[in-house]
Amino acid sequence: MLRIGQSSKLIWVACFSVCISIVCISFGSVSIPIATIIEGIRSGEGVYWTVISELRFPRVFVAFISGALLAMSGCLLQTLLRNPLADPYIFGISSGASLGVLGALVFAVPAFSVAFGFLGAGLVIVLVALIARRGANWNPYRLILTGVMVSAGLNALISLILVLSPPNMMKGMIFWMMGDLTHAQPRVWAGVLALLIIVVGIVFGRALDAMSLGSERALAIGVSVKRLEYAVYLLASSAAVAVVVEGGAIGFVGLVVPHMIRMTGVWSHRYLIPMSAFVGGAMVVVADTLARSVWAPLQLPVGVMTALIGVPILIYLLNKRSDVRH
Amino acid sequence: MLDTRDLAVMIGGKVLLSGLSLNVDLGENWAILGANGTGKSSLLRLLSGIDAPLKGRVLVDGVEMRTFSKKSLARQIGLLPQIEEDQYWGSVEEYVGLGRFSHAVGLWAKSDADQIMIQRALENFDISSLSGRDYRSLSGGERQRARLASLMAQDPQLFLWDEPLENLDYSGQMQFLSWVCELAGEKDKASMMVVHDVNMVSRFFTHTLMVFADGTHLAGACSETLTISNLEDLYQTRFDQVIHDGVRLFVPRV
Repeated sequence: MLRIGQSSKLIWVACFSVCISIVCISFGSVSIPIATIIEGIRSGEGVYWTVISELRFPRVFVAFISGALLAMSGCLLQTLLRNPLADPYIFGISSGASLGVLGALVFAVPAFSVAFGFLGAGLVIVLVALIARRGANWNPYRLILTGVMVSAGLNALISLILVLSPPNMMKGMIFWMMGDLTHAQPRVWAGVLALLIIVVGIVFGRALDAMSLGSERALAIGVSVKRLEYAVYLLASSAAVAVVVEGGAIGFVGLVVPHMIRMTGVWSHRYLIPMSAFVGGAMVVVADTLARSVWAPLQLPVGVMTALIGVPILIYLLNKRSDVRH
Repeated sequence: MLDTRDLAVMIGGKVLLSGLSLNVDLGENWAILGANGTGKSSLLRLLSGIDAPLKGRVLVDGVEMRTFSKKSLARQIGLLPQIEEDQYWGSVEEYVGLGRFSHAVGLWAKSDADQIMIQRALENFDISSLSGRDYRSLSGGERQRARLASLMAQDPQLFLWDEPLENLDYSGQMQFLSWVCELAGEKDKASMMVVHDVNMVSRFFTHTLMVFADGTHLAGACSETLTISNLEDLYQTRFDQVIHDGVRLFVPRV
Protein backbone atom coordinates (compact mmCIF):
# COMPACT_ATOMS: atom_id res chain seq x y z
CA MET A 1 0.00 0.00 0.00
CA LEU A 2 1.21 3.48 -0.82
CA ARG A 3 2.47 5.17 2.35
CA ILE A 4 0.75 8.53 2.62
CA GLY A 5 0.87 10.40 5.90
CA GLN A 6 -2.28 10.67 8.00
CA SER A 7 -2.38 14.45 7.61
CA SER A 8 -2.28 14.39 3.81
CA LYS A 9 -4.98 11.71 3.79
CA LEU A 10 -7.11 14.03 5.92
CA ILE A 11 -6.65 16.92 3.49
CA TRP A 12 -7.50 14.77 0.45
CA VAL A 13 -10.58 13.35 2.10
CA ALA A 14 -11.73 16.81 3.24
CA CYS A 15 -11.46 18.23 -0.30
CA PHE A 16 -13.10 15.19 -1.86
CA SER A 17 -16.05 15.15 0.53
CA VAL A 18 -16.72 18.88 0.10
CA CYS A 19 -16.56 18.53 -3.71
CA ILE A 20 -18.91 15.55 -3.71
CA SER A 21 -21.39 17.47 -1.56
CA ILE A 22 -21.38 20.37 -4.00
CA VAL A 23 -21.99 17.96 -6.87
CA CYS A 24 -24.91 16.49 -4.94
CA ILE A 25 -26.57 19.92 -4.85
CA SER A 26 -27.15 19.60 -8.59
CA PHE A 27 -29.06 16.32 -8.30
CA GLY A 28 -32.74 16.05 -7.49
CA SER A 29 -36.15 16.18 -9.10
CA VAL A 30 -34.81 19.13 -11.13
CA SER A 31 -31.25 18.59 -12.32
CA ILE A 32 -29.11 21.73 -12.10
CA PRO A 33 -25.78 21.79 -13.95
CA ILE A 34 -22.72 22.68 -11.87
CA ALA A 35 -22.07 25.76 -14.03
CA THR A 36 -25.56 27.04 -13.25
CA ILE A 37 -24.97 26.46 -9.54
CA ILE A 38 -21.83 28.59 -9.67
CA GLU A 39 -23.65 31.18 -11.79
CA GLY A 40 -26.55 31.20 -9.30
CA ILE A 41 -24.25 31.64 -6.33
CA ARG A 42 -22.46 34.51 -8.12
CA SER A 43 -25.56 36.40 -9.13
CA GLY A 44 -27.70 35.38 -6.18
CA GLU A 45 -30.98 35.39 -8.09
CA GLY A 46 -33.11 33.31 -10.45
CA VAL A 47 -35.28 30.20 -10.09
CA TYR A 48 -32.28 27.89 -9.78
CA TRP A 49 -30.85 30.04 -7.06
CA THR A 50 -34.11 29.79 -5.13
CA VAL A 51 -34.12 26.01 -5.50
CA ILE A 52 -30.50 25.87 -4.36
CA SER A 53 -30.68 28.24 -1.43
CA GLU A 54 -34.15 27.29 -0.16
CA LEU A 55 -34.19 23.54 -0.81
CA ARG A 56 -30.99 21.88 -1.92
CA PHE A 57 -28.37 23.59 0.17
CA PRO A 58 -30.21 23.26 3.50
CA ARG A 59 -30.86 19.59 2.71
CA VAL A 60 -27.23 18.88 1.85
CA PHE A 61 -26.13 20.84 4.93
CA VAL A 62 -28.39 18.82 7.24
CA ALA A 63 -27.22 15.58 5.64
CA PHE A 64 -23.56 16.52 5.95
CA ILE A 65 -23.79 17.62 9.58
CA SER A 66 -25.85 14.54 10.49
CA GLY A 67 -23.31 12.22 8.90
CA ALA A 68 -20.42 14.05 10.53
CA LEU A 69 -22.02 13.87 13.98
CA LEU A 70 -22.94 10.20 13.64
CA ALA A 71 -19.52 9.11 12.43
CA MET A 72 -17.69 11.03 15.16
CA SER A 73 -20.10 9.77 17.78
CA GLY A 74 -19.52 6.18 16.68
CA CYS A 75 -15.78 6.68 16.65
CA LEU A 76 -15.76 8.11 20.19
CA LEU A 77 -18.00 5.33 21.51
CA GLN A 78 -15.90 2.59 19.92
CA THR A 79 -12.95 4.01 21.83
CA LEU A 80 -14.85 4.61 25.09
CA LEU A 81 -16.29 1.08 25.10
CA ARG A 82 -13.27 -0.59 23.47
CA ASN A 83 -15.81 -2.36 21.32
CA PRO A 84 -15.76 -2.40 17.52
CA LEU A 85 -19.54 -2.91 17.40
CA ALA A 86 -20.36 0.29 19.26
CA ASP A 87 -22.45 2.82 17.37
CA PRO A 88 -24.25 6.06 18.32
CA TYR A 89 -27.44 4.23 19.20
CA ILE A 90 -25.91 1.58 21.44
CA PHE A 91 -27.26 3.23 24.61
CA GLY A 92 -30.78 3.36 23.26
CA ILE A 93 -30.69 7.07 22.46
CA SER A 94 -32.60 6.57 19.22
CA SER A 95 -35.17 4.43 21.02
CA GLY A 96 -35.60 7.10 23.69
CA ALA A 97 -36.05 9.79 21.06
CA SER A 98 -38.43 7.56 19.03
CA LEU A 99 -40.55 6.96 22.08
CA GLY A 100 -40.67 10.70 22.73
CA VAL A 101 -41.69 11.50 19.18
CA LEU A 102 -44.23 8.69 19.17
CA GLY A 103 -45.58 10.03 22.43
CA ALA A 104 -46.03 13.46 20.85
CA LEU A 105 -48.00 11.89 18.00
CA VAL A 106 -50.07 9.70 20.27
CA PHE A 107 -50.97 12.63 22.51
CA ALA A 108 -51.74 14.62 19.32
CA VAL A 109 -49.16 17.34 19.98
CA PRO A 110 -46.99 16.94 16.84
CA ALA A 111 -45.58 20.46 17.26
CA PHE A 112 -43.72 19.24 20.31
CA SER A 113 -42.28 16.13 18.66
CA VAL A 114 -38.71 17.51 18.58
CA ALA A 115 -38.96 18.59 22.19
CA PHE A 116 -40.38 15.19 23.18
CA GLY A 117 -37.60 13.50 21.22
CA PHE A 118 -35.02 15.51 23.14
CA LEU A 119 -36.69 14.65 26.41
CA GLY A 120 -36.76 10.91 25.66
CA ALA A 121 -33.15 10.79 24.51
CA GLY A 122 -31.97 12.96 27.39
CA LEU A 123 -33.66 10.68 29.91
CA VAL A 124 -31.95 7.68 28.34
CA ILE A 125 -28.52 9.34 28.58
CA VAL A 126 -29.02 10.11 32.27
CA LEU A 127 -30.59 6.74 33.04
CA VAL A 128 -27.84 4.68 31.40
CA ALA A 129 -25.11 6.74 33.07
CA LEU A 130 -26.75 6.40 36.50
CA ILE A 131 -27.26 2.65 36.27
CA ALA A 132 -23.86 1.93 34.75
CA ARG A 133 -21.90 4.17 37.11
CA ARG A 134 -23.17 2.73 40.36
CA GLY A 135 -19.85 1.06 41.06
CA ALA A 136 -16.54 2.85 41.48
CA ASN A 137 -15.47 2.16 37.92
CA TRP A 138 -16.88 3.23 34.60
CA ASN A 139 -16.80 -0.32 33.35
CA PRO A 140 -17.28 -0.64 29.57
CA TYR A 141 -19.01 -4.01 29.82
CA ARG A 142 -21.47 -2.70 32.37
CA LEU A 143 -22.08 0.41 30.30
CA ILE A 144 -22.63 -1.51 27.09
CA LEU A 145 -24.95 -4.06 28.70
CA THR A 146 -26.94 -1.35 30.45
CA GLY A 147 -27.33 0.51 27.16
CA VAL A 148 -28.43 -2.59 25.29
CA MET A 149 -30.93 -3.48 28.02
CA VAL A 150 -32.42 0.03 28.18
CA SER A 151 -32.73 0.14 24.43
CA ALA A 152 -34.32 -3.34 24.28
CA GLY A 153 -36.90 -2.26 26.85
CA LEU A 154 -37.71 0.93 24.98
CA ASN A 155 -37.94 -0.89 21.65
CA ALA A 156 -40.53 -3.23 23.14
CA LEU A 157 -42.60 -0.19 24.18
CA ILE A 158 -42.22 1.32 20.71
CA SER A 159 -43.38 -1.89 19.03
CA LEU A 160 -46.34 -1.97 21.37
CA ILE A 161 -47.37 1.59 20.50
CA LEU A 162 -46.87 0.96 16.77
CA VAL A 163 -49.01 -2.15 16.84
CA LEU A 164 -51.79 -0.36 18.68
CA SER A 165 -51.65 2.83 16.56
CA PRO A 166 -53.73 3.46 13.41
CA PRO A 167 -52.07 2.22 10.18
CA ASN A 168 -51.75 5.64 8.51
CA MET A 169 -49.56 6.87 11.36
CA MET A 170 -47.41 3.79 11.24
CA LYS A 171 -45.72 4.43 7.90
CA GLY A 172 -44.50 7.90 8.86
CA MET A 173 -43.13 6.54 12.10
CA ILE A 174 -41.33 3.67 10.40
CA PHE A 175 -39.76 6.09 7.94
CA TRP A 176 -38.61 8.27 10.78
CA MET A 177 -37.16 5.35 12.68
CA MET A 178 -35.18 4.25 9.63
CA GLY A 179 -33.76 7.73 9.25
CA ASP A 180 -35.39 10.28 7.01
CA LEU A 181 -34.17 13.78 6.29
CA THR A 182 -37.30 14.97 4.42
CA HIS A 183 -38.51 17.14 7.27
CA ALA A 184 -35.15 17.82 8.90
CA GLN A 185 -34.25 21.41 9.59
CA PRO A 186 -30.67 22.72 9.46
CA ARG A 187 -29.63 23.82 12.96
CA VAL A 188 -26.68 26.03 13.74
CA TRP A 189 -26.07 24.36 17.08
CA ALA A 190 -25.66 20.99 15.40
CA GLY A 191 -22.85 22.49 13.34
CA VAL A 192 -21.33 24.04 16.46
CA LEU A 193 -21.49 20.68 18.24
CA ALA A 194 -19.72 19.03 15.29
CA LEU A 195 -16.93 21.63 15.42
CA LEU A 196 -16.63 21.20 19.18
CA ILE A 197 -16.17 17.44 18.82
CA ILE A 198 -13.52 17.95 16.15
CA VAL A 199 -11.61 20.31 18.45
CA VAL A 200 -11.89 17.90 21.39
CA GLY A 201 -10.76 15.05 19.14
CA ILE A 202 -7.66 16.97 18.09
CA VAL A 203 -6.74 18.35 21.52
CA PHE A 204 -7.34 15.11 23.41
CA GLY A 205 -6.30 12.86 20.54
CA ARG A 206 -3.30 11.37 22.31
CA ALA A 207 -5.31 10.68 25.45
CA LEU A 208 -7.98 8.97 23.33
CA ASP A 209 -5.29 6.88 21.62
CA ALA A 210 -4.10 5.78 25.05
CA MET A 211 -7.69 4.94 26.04
CA SER A 212 -7.74 2.20 23.41
CA LEU A 213 -5.40 0.26 25.69
CA GLY A 214 -7.97 0.26 28.49
CA SER A 215 -8.50 2.64 31.38
CA GLU A 216 -5.89 1.02 33.62
CA ARG A 217 -3.08 1.49 31.15
CA ALA A 218 -4.29 4.97 30.20
CA LEU A 219 -4.25 5.98 33.88
CA ALA A 220 -0.74 4.60 34.29
CA ILE A 221 0.42 6.67 31.32
CA GLY A 222 -0.98 9.80 32.97
CA VAL A 223 -4.40 10.30 31.33
CA SER A 224 -7.19 11.77 33.50
CA VAL A 225 -9.42 8.91 32.49
CA LYS A 226 -12.54 9.69 34.49
CA ARG A 227 -12.87 13.25 33.15
CA LEU A 228 -12.18 12.10 29.61
CA GLU A 229 -14.76 9.31 29.83
CA TYR A 230 -17.48 11.70 31.03
CA ALA A 231 -16.64 14.14 28.25
CA VAL A 232 -16.65 11.44 25.58
CA TYR A 233 -19.90 9.95 26.83
CA LEU A 234 -21.65 13.33 26.86
CA LEU A 235 -20.31 14.51 23.50
CA ALA A 236 -21.02 11.25 21.70
CA SER A 237 -24.54 11.03 23.15
CA SER A 238 -25.36 14.67 22.38
CA ALA A 239 -24.21 14.17 18.81
CA ALA A 240 -26.53 11.19 18.44
CA VAL A 241 -29.43 13.12 19.95
CA ALA A 242 -28.81 16.11 17.67
CA VAL A 243 -29.15 13.85 14.64
CA VAL A 244 -32.00 11.67 15.83
CA VAL A 245 -34.42 14.46 16.78
CA GLU A 246 -34.11 15.97 13.29
CA GLY A 247 -33.48 13.09 10.93
CA GLY A 248 -34.43 9.95 12.83
CA ALA A 249 -32.20 6.98 13.45
CA ILE A 250 -29.98 7.04 10.36
CA GLY A 251 -28.16 3.76 10.78
CA PHE A 252 -24.83 2.30 9.80
CA VAL A 253 -22.82 5.54 9.36
CA GLY A 254 -21.66 5.68 12.97
CA LEU A 255 -20.71 2.01 13.00
CA VAL A 256 -18.98 1.73 9.68
CA VAL A 257 -17.23 5.02 8.91
CA PRO A 258 -14.63 4.81 11.72
CA HIS A 259 -13.73 1.27 10.60
CA MET A 260 -13.46 2.34 6.97
CA ILE A 261 -11.04 5.09 7.96
CA ARG A 262 -8.95 2.87 10.26
CA MET A 263 -8.63 0.35 7.46
CA THR A 264 -6.99 2.98 5.26
CA GLY A 265 -4.26 3.31 7.88
CA VAL A 266 -5.52 6.35 9.79
CA TRP A 267 -5.81 5.46 13.47
CA SER A 268 -4.71 8.41 15.61
CA HIS A 269 -7.76 10.22 16.98
CA ARG A 270 -6.26 13.56 16.02
CA TYR A 271 -6.91 12.56 12.40
CA LEU A 272 -9.54 9.90 12.90
CA ILE A 273 -12.14 12.27 14.41
CA PRO A 274 -11.98 15.06 11.80
CA MET A 275 -11.76 12.49 9.02
CA SER A 276 -14.82 10.68 10.38
CA ALA A 277 -16.67 13.99 10.15
CA PHE A 278 -15.84 14.43 6.46
CA VAL A 279 -16.36 10.83 5.38
CA GLY A 280 -19.55 10.46 7.43
CA GLY A 281 -20.83 13.77 6.09
CA ALA A 282 -20.14 12.86 2.47
CA MET A 283 -21.64 9.39 2.92
CA VAL A 284 -24.96 10.71 4.21
CA VAL A 285 -25.06 13.46 1.56
CA VAL A 286 -24.60 10.87 -1.20
CA ALA A 287 -27.04 8.45 0.41
CA ASP A 288 -29.64 11.18 0.81
CA THR A 289 -29.19 12.34 -2.76
CA LEU A 290 -29.74 8.78 -3.99
CA ALA A 291 -32.68 8.36 -1.62
CA ARG A 292 -34.46 11.37 -3.10
CA SER A 293 -33.54 10.81 -6.77
CA VAL A 294 -33.40 7.11 -7.71
CA TRP A 295 -37.10 6.52 -7.11
CA ALA A 296 -38.19 10.14 -7.69
CA PRO A 297 -40.65 11.53 -6.99
CA LEU A 298 -40.89 8.87 -4.27
CA GLN A 299 -38.43 9.54 -1.45
CA LEU A 300 -36.76 6.59 0.25
CA PRO A 301 -35.51 6.67 3.85
CA VAL A 302 -31.84 7.69 3.85
CA GLY A 303 -30.98 5.00 6.42
CA VAL A 304 -31.64 2.30 3.82
CA MET A 305 -29.23 3.98 1.43
CA THR A 306 -26.42 4.42 3.96
CA ALA A 307 -26.45 0.68 4.57
CA LEU A 308 -26.61 -0.12 0.85
CA ILE A 309 -23.56 2.09 0.22
CA GLY A 310 -21.62 1.21 3.38
CA VAL A 311 -21.85 -2.58 3.35
CA PRO A 312 -20.03 -3.19 0.04
CA ILE A 313 -17.33 -0.62 0.82
CA LEU A 314 -16.60 -2.15 4.24
CA ILE A 315 -16.54 -5.71 2.91
CA TYR A 316 -14.16 -4.65 0.15
CA LEU A 317 -11.80 -2.99 2.63
CA LEU A 318 -12.00 -5.96 5.02
CA ASN A 319 -10.83 -8.29 2.29
CA LYS A 320 -8.13 -5.95 1.03
CA ARG A 321 -6.46 -5.57 4.43
CA SER A 322 -5.22 -9.09 4.98
CA ASP A 323 -2.02 -8.01 6.76
CA VAL A 324 -3.79 -7.10 10.00
CA ARG A 325 -4.81 -9.75 12.51
CA HIS A 326 -8.27 -8.98 13.82
CA MET B 1 11.15 7.79 46.97
CA LEU B 2 7.99 5.81 47.84
CA ASP B 3 6.65 5.23 51.33
CA THR B 4 3.57 3.38 52.47
CA ARG B 5 2.10 3.78 55.95
CA ASP B 6 -0.07 0.99 57.32
CA LEU B 7 -1.39 0.30 53.82
CA ALA B 8 -4.04 -2.37 53.28
CA VAL B 9 -4.95 -4.13 50.03
CA MET B 10 -8.67 -4.87 49.84
CA ILE B 11 -10.81 -6.37 47.11
CA GLY B 12 -14.57 -6.29 47.48
CA GLY B 13 -14.33 -5.63 51.23
CA LYS B 14 -11.96 -8.56 51.76
CA VAL B 15 -8.55 -7.69 53.21
CA LEU B 16 -5.77 -9.44 51.28
CA LEU B 17 -2.80 -7.69 52.85
CA SER B 18 -2.64 -5.27 55.76
CA GLY B 19 -0.26 -3.18 57.81
CA LEU B 20 2.20 -2.65 54.97
CA SER B 21 4.74 0.04 55.84
CA LEU B 22 7.31 -0.02 53.09
CA ASN B 23 10.14 2.31 52.19
CA VAL B 24 11.47 2.11 48.64
CA ASP B 25 14.49 4.26 47.80
CA LEU B 26 16.09 5.14 44.48
CA GLY B 27 18.73 2.60 43.52
CA GLU B 28 16.69 -0.31 44.89
CA ASN B 29 15.40 -3.18 42.83
CA TRP B 30 12.45 -4.93 44.49
CA ALA B 31 10.88 -8.25 43.67
CA ILE B 32 7.31 -8.89 44.84
CA LEU B 33 6.77 -12.60 45.47
CA GLY B 34 3.62 -14.44 46.45
CA ALA B 35 1.21 -17.17 45.47
CA ASN B 36 -1.58 -16.46 42.97
CA GLY B 37 -4.42 -14.31 44.25
CA THR B 38 -2.61 -12.78 47.21
CA GLY B 39 -3.17 -9.20 46.01
CA LYS B 40 0.14 -8.42 44.32
CA SER B 41 -1.40 -6.75 41.27
CA SER B 42 -3.84 -4.82 43.47
CA LEU B 43 -0.88 -3.64 45.53
CA LEU B 44 0.80 -2.32 42.38
CA ARG B 45 -2.40 -0.48 41.48
CA LEU B 46 -2.28 1.26 44.87
CA LEU B 47 1.44 2.04 44.61
CA SER B 48 0.99 3.53 41.13
CA GLY B 49 -1.96 5.70 42.17
CA ILE B 50 -4.44 4.02 39.80
CA ASP B 51 -6.53 3.03 42.82
CA ALA B 52 -6.83 5.10 45.98
CA PRO B 53 -6.19 3.19 49.21
CA LEU B 54 -9.20 2.56 51.45
CA LYS B 55 -6.90 2.23 54.45
CA GLY B 56 -3.38 3.56 54.92
CA ARG B 57 -1.37 6.12 53.00
CA VAL B 58 1.02 6.23 50.06
CA LEU B 59 3.65 9.00 49.98
CA VAL B 60 5.83 10.03 47.04
CA ASP B 61 8.96 11.88 48.18
CA GLY B 62 7.13 12.54 51.45
CA VAL B 63 4.05 14.05 49.76
CA GLU B 64 0.56 12.42 49.77
CA MET B 65 0.11 10.70 46.46
CA ARG B 66 -3.44 11.96 45.84
CA THR B 67 -2.22 15.59 45.72
CA PHE B 68 -0.33 14.86 42.48
CA SER B 69 -1.96 15.49 39.10
CA LYS B 70 -2.26 12.40 36.91
CA LYS B 71 0.42 13.66 34.55
CA SER B 72 2.99 14.64 37.17
CA LEU B 73 2.42 11.35 38.98
CA ALA B 74 3.06 9.46 35.74
CA ARG B 75 6.45 11.18 35.52
CA GLN B 76 7.28 9.89 39.01
CA ILE B 77 5.77 6.41 38.93
CA GLY B 78 5.05 4.26 35.90
CA LEU B 79 3.14 0.97 35.90
CA LEU B 80 3.01 -1.71 33.25
CA PRO B 81 -0.14 -3.71 34.04
CA GLN B 82 -0.19 -7.42 33.36
CA ILE B 83 -3.04 -7.22 30.87
CA GLU B 84 -4.25 -4.45 28.63
CA GLU B 85 -6.89 -4.15 25.99
CA ASP B 86 -6.07 -4.63 22.42
CA GLN B 87 -7.82 -2.01 20.32
CA TYR B 88 -4.66 -0.15 19.38
CA TRP B 89 -4.25 0.45 15.66
CA GLY B 90 -1.02 2.44 15.36
CA SER B 91 2.54 1.45 14.55
CA VAL B 92 5.00 -0.01 17.04
CA GLU B 93 6.87 3.28 17.22
CA GLU B 94 3.68 5.21 17.98
CA TYR B 95 2.75 2.62 20.58
CA VAL B 96 6.05 3.07 22.37
CA GLY B 97 5.54 6.82 22.00
CA LEU B 98 2.35 6.61 24.09
CA GLY B 99 4.70 6.31 27.06
CA ARG B 100 5.71 9.92 26.45
CA PHE B 101 2.17 11.18 27.11
CA SER B 102 3.00 12.71 30.49
CA HIS B 103 6.02 14.52 29.05
CA ALA B 104 4.31 15.93 25.96
CA VAL B 105 4.05 19.68 25.64
CA GLY B 106 2.87 20.43 22.09
CA LEU B 107 -0.21 19.13 20.32
CA TRP B 108 1.30 17.71 17.17
CA ALA B 109 5.03 17.19 16.98
CA LYS B 110 7.02 15.18 19.46
CA SER B 111 9.92 16.99 21.08
CA ASP B 112 13.51 15.96 20.39
CA ALA B 113 13.70 14.49 23.88
CA ASP B 114 10.62 12.37 23.11
CA GLN B 115 12.15 11.12 19.84
CA ILE B 116 15.44 10.24 21.52
CA MET B 117 13.72 8.35 24.33
CA ILE B 118 11.51 6.43 21.88
CA GLN B 119 14.44 5.42 19.66
CA ARG B 120 16.50 4.42 22.67
CA ALA B 121 13.67 2.27 24.03
CA LEU B 122 13.14 0.59 20.65
CA GLU B 123 16.85 -0.21 20.41
CA ASN B 124 17.08 -1.40 24.00
CA PHE B 125 14.43 -4.04 23.38
CA ASP B 126 15.68 -5.01 19.91
CA ILE B 127 12.55 -3.87 18.10
CA SER B 128 13.93 -0.98 16.03
CA SER B 129 13.40 -3.07 12.91
CA LEU B 130 9.70 -3.44 13.78
CA SER B 131 9.09 0.25 14.44
CA GLY B 132 6.99 0.84 11.31
CA ARG B 133 4.89 -2.32 11.67
CA ASP B 134 1.30 -2.35 12.91
CA TYR B 135 1.34 -3.08 16.63
CA ARG B 136 -1.49 -5.58 16.13
CA SER B 137 0.56 -7.61 13.66
CA LEU B 138 3.24 -8.44 16.27
CA SER B 139 3.66 -11.82 17.96
CA GLY B 140 3.05 -12.16 21.71
CA GLY B 141 6.74 -11.86 22.58
CA GLU B 142 7.28 -8.91 20.27
CA ARG B 143 4.29 -7.16 21.77
CA GLN B 144 5.68 -7.71 25.24
CA ARG B 145 8.95 -6.11 24.14
CA ALA B 146 7.04 -3.11 22.79
CA ARG B 147 5.13 -2.86 26.07
CA LEU B 148 8.33 -2.89 28.10
CA ALA B 149 9.79 -0.30 25.73
CA SER B 150 6.81 2.00 26.26
CA LEU B 151 7.40 2.08 30.02
CA MET B 152 11.08 2.73 29.40
CA ALA B 153 10.07 5.68 27.21
CA GLN B 154 7.80 6.95 29.99
CA ASP B 155 10.99 7.23 32.07
CA PRO B 156 9.53 7.51 35.58
CA GLN B 157 11.60 7.52 38.78
CA LEU B 158 9.94 4.34 40.01
CA PHE B 159 9.12 1.55 37.55
CA LEU B 160 6.35 -0.89 38.53
CA TRP B 161 6.13 -4.08 36.47
CA ASP B 162 3.41 -6.72 36.76
CA GLU B 163 4.85 -10.05 35.58
CA PRO B 164 6.90 -8.50 32.77
CA LEU B 165 8.76 -11.73 31.92
CA GLU B 166 5.65 -13.30 30.46
CA ASN B 167 6.00 -14.21 26.75
CA LEU B 168 9.71 -13.31 26.70
CA ASP B 169 12.25 -15.90 25.58
CA TYR B 170 15.35 -16.49 27.72
CA SER B 171 17.51 -13.98 25.89
CA GLY B 172 14.72 -11.42 26.24
CA GLN B 173 14.39 -12.14 29.97
CA MET B 174 18.11 -11.88 30.65
CA GLN B 175 18.46 -8.68 28.62
CA PHE B 176 15.48 -7.12 30.33
CA LEU B 177 16.53 -8.05 33.86
CA SER B 178 20.13 -6.88 33.41
CA TRP B 179 18.74 -3.60 32.07
CA VAL B 180 16.49 -3.24 35.13
CA CYS B 181 19.55 -3.93 37.33
CA GLU B 182 21.46 -1.22 35.52
CA LEU B 183 18.48 1.12 35.87
CA ALA B 184 18.55 0.80 39.64
CA GLY B 185 22.32 0.55 40.02
CA GLU B 186 23.62 3.19 37.62
CA LYS B 187 20.73 5.42 36.56
CA ASP B 188 19.56 5.82 40.16
CA LYS B 189 15.98 4.82 39.49
CA ALA B 190 13.92 2.35 41.47
CA SER B 191 11.98 -0.70 40.29
CA MET B 192 9.41 -3.03 41.79
CA MET B 193 8.41 -6.15 39.91
CA VAL B 194 5.93 -8.95 40.45
CA VAL B 195 7.78 -12.14 39.42
CA HIS B 196 7.43 -15.87 39.99
CA ASP B 197 10.94 -16.97 39.07
CA VAL B 198 12.78 -17.11 42.40
CA ASN B 199 16.13 -17.80 40.74
CA MET B 200 15.96 -14.62 38.69
CA VAL B 201 15.25 -12.79 41.95
CA SER B 202 18.35 -14.13 43.73
CA ARG B 203 20.46 -13.25 40.72
CA PHE B 204 19.23 -9.77 39.82
CA PHE B 205 17.32 -8.14 42.68
CA THR B 206 18.35 -6.25 45.80
CA HIS B 207 15.14 -6.43 47.87
CA THR B 208 12.16 -8.72 48.24
CA LEU B 209 8.60 -8.22 49.40
CA MET B 210 6.94 -11.54 50.17
CA VAL B 211 3.17 -11.54 50.37
CA PHE B 212 1.80 -14.55 52.25
CA ALA B 213 -1.61 -16.10 51.77
CA ASP B 214 -2.66 -15.22 55.36
CA GLY B 215 -2.27 -11.47 54.68
CA THR B 216 1.09 -11.05 56.38
CA HIS B 217 4.22 -9.95 54.59
CA LEU B 218 7.98 -9.90 54.86
CA ALA B 219 10.15 -7.18 53.36
CA GLY B 220 13.91 -6.77 53.28
CA ALA B 221 17.18 -7.35 51.47
CA CYS B 222 17.29 -10.53 49.38
CA SER B 223 20.20 -11.89 51.43
CA GLU B 224 17.90 -12.04 54.49
CA THR B 225 14.51 -12.87 53.00
CA LEU B 226 15.39 -15.46 50.37
CA THR B 227 15.61 -18.58 52.51
CA ILE B 228 14.26 -22.06 52.01
CA SER B 229 11.88 -21.82 54.95
CA ASN B 230 10.42 -18.49 53.76
CA LEU B 231 9.94 -19.80 50.22
CA GLU B 232 8.32 -22.97 51.51
CA ASP B 233 5.89 -20.88 53.57
CA LEU B 234 5.23 -18.62 50.62
CA TYR B 235 4.49 -21.24 47.97
CA GLN B 236 3.49 -24.24 50.15
CA THR B 237 6.04 -26.22 48.17
CA ARG B 238 9.30 -27.86 49.30
CA PHE B 239 12.57 -26.44 47.90
CA ASP B 240 16.21 -27.51 47.62
CA GLN B 241 18.98 -24.94 47.60
CA VAL B 242 21.92 -25.13 45.18
CA ILE B 243 24.88 -22.76 45.10
CA HIS B 244 25.96 -22.12 41.54
CA ASP B 245 28.59 -19.52 40.57
CA GLY B 246 28.19 -17.98 43.99
CA VAL B 247 24.43 -17.44 43.47
CA ARG B 248 21.84 -19.28 45.59
CA LEU B 249 19.38 -21.10 43.37
CA PHE B 250 16.18 -22.80 44.53
CA VAL B 251 14.79 -25.93 42.95
CA PRO B 252 11.20 -26.87 43.77
CA ARG B 253 10.62 -30.49 44.85
CA VAL B 254 7.64 -32.60 43.89
